[in-house]
Amino acid sequence: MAENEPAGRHGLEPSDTERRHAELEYLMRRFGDKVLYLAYSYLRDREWAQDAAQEVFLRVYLALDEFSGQSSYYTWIYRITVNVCRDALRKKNRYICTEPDNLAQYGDTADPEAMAVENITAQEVVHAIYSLPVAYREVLLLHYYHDLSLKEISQVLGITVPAAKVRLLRGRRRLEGLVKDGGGHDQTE
Amino acid sequence: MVVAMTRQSNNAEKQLRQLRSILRQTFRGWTFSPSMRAHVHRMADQYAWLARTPSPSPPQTGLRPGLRWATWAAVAAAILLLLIWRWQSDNAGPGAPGEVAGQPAYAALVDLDGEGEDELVAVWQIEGTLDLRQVLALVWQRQSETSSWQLLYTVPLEGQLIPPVQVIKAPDSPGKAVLVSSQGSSAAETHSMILRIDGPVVRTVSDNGS
Repeated sequence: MAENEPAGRHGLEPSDTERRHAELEYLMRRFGDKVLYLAYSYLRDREWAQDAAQEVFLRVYLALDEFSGQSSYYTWIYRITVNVCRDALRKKNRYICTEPDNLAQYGDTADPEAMAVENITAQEVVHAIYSLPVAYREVLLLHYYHDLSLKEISQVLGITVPAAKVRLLRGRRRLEGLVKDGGGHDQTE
Repeated sequence: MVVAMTRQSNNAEKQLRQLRSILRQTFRGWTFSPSMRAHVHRMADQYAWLARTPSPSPPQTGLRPGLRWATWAAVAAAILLLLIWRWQSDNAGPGAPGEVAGQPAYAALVDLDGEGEDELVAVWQIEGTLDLRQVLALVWQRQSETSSWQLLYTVPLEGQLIPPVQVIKAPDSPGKAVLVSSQGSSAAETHSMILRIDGPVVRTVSDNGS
């Protein structure tokens, strides 16, 4: 992170603000989509995920100076995302009752040709993942979609590495069961 | 049987390995858009003063950084209000007590209106040298435009506070409610009050049972 400029009579605040905005812009461009999709994996509602993602970057902006560099940027931002989403779920009390959006609306499935067997299977897997309890869903998505290692997952979620590993294994097993049953609706949280 | 399970497991693993491409296709066209980025910049400008406020030590309150100073300001305002209220009580009638003491009994951030942003609820126990014993409940709401706290409501309750103050779920609203109970002059005399937000106003439901 760039150092603060020397305190001048007029120059400090504007340049500092500009620097912070530039840093924020960079982080939003680099991680915006990933934060959005991670938020969606918790909230399962597009509008809500957009609101949450924006709140994440507001918190990032407010805490830029507190980022110590001990972890990577994305681990730090993902952790903020997880906290924002958990807060949102707790406040709205929607851990259980939220139904996933129709995911197909974001894809290219309007074309009937696209509804080939392989795509149906893919949609089943996606639907099955979003039907999993959040504890398994978050680990599976962080590992397989966001490419985080078990150590990074443990940092993001604030759990131990063995716990992350156990959740990953159990999540995979439950997913196998759901896919076998045709992408069932497991709403247990 | 074992072969079938292994095949199924391998299939799931294969699907998971392809998760990135599957989701990329699924989420195609849905991005963290320029308008969202612009909105974050605008919000950041509004809260820029918070980012510039130095925080030499980590928060001890468990509150979000943005709420820390504002919460203390609200508590200070509560004390000021209490002093004014106390002064008014002192001068309310002939022979009013010269000394009234109060102490905070409860303070918490509670989402009373169910809109996600917490309200600040405080309950004070007021004690006087004469028979003045009252509970005073206060509610503040955070103004999103100005990030300041606005005092919404104050309500007294006769008697002495019976702890605990309880946060309960309002049956007909997404928000929560606060239940405050007090004991009157005799042990058998109890009062209770439910404090909640209904639309734009704070409402209380009192039970003056004996």
